[in-house]
Amino acid sequence: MEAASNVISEKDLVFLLKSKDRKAFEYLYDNYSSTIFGIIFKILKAEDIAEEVLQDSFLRFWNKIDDYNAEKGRLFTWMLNIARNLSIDKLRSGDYKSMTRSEDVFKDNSPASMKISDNFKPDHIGVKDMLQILNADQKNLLELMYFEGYSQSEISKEFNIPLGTVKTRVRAAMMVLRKLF
Amino acid sequence: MNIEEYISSGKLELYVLDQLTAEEKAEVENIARTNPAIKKEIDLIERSLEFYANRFSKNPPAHIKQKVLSQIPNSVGSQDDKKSSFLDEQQLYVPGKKRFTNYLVAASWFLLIFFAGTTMYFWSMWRKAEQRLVIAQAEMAEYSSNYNNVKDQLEGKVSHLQNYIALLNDNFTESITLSGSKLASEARAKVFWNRRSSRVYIAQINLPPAPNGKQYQLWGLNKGKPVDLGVLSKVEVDVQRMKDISLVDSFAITLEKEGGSTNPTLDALYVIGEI
Repeated sequence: MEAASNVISEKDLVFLLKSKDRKAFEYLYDNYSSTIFGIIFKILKAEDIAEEVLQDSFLRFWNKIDDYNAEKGRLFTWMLNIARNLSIDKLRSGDYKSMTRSEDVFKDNSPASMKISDNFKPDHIGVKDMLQILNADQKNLLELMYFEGYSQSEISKEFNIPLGTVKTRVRAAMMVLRKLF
Repeated sequence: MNIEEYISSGKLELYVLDQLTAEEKAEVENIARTNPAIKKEIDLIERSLEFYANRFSKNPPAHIKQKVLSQIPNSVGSQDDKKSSFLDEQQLYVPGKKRFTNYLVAASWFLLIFFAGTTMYFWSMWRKAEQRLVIAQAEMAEYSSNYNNVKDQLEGKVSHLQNYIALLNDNFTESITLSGSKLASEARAKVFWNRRSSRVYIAQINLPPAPNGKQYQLWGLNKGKPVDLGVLSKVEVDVQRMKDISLVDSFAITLEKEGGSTNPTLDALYVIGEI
């Protein structure tokens, strides 16, 4: 994100994208593709499908840019949510299920496996240490919700946690992250 | 609605994490629109999310980029390729809307850079001119000083010579030839003495060069008693005015230590002559 803001402000980038500026779009890809791909891959865990979804995501960024409204939030959040939604759709789709053994995916998230290590294989050195700060529940909660596509009610039901508690834990997790940056 | 409570409820986190229903989202957006504190909180949450998401960053294979770019059209609507990017031209150019504003912005950037450039150029020129002026002024001061020195010297010399000529023409001036002693038989000097004004001039000096640390001194002898008339200039001169003397019989020059002596060293007598 730092690279993006050093050269061109988000405001200008959005303006250019809405004007269908091709170079601005290329700039968008250069600066955001890694992070977007990272999220997609984390959800799908498979290279080929992740690449496909990455392409679909960027195409959608281009085509749906008019839907983006700065008042509602940052550009990256908007892109992230699009990518994430596409990924989760794919995750739940026939294609994906036929390609992977879906049982394994859900099995990994059973209460028994709610521990610090396994699910999470960070790509960067230090991330693991950093995220130890989040306790097991908080981390898994974020992962479940954000990367596995569990809604808060699904989580509440699946893990027998009151809905209110789910909400506050999510907030707590995000607050911890905020301290880190 | 209590802002603190709303923020602590965790709703905003869920909004950013895209966990709310359409109605709930609209509610949040409405509140955010009129509440800068809420908007700010949302912004912070978003940044935390970006920060978190960045940690999972993974480079996609290089060929994907081309695939992605090939999916978007080269040109849109009536715009040409040439106008496709501000990044190429390094200015905020956008085809279509707000053209006038863009030209204005581009023009103002250009003017700014142009004026900054010319300002720098002129400043640099001014500095150089300043320096040259300072040097010129210093030179002028030097010349002026030199000129004045020379002028003074000339005026002095002219006046000196005028006096000398006047003395020579005066009836009361005696001309005494000083001849060489055993030490320097070829040595000569001429002394002009005016008995009325008491002025003494020495001219036509023909003496061996005085060694370092030594200097010739003129004496007037009055009834055998030597009177110091001053040392001879070490620099060669045509005529030199010496000290006045009212009563004198003869003149002699001895070689003394530099600056002269109170009494003549008779061993070092070089020339002598009587009136």
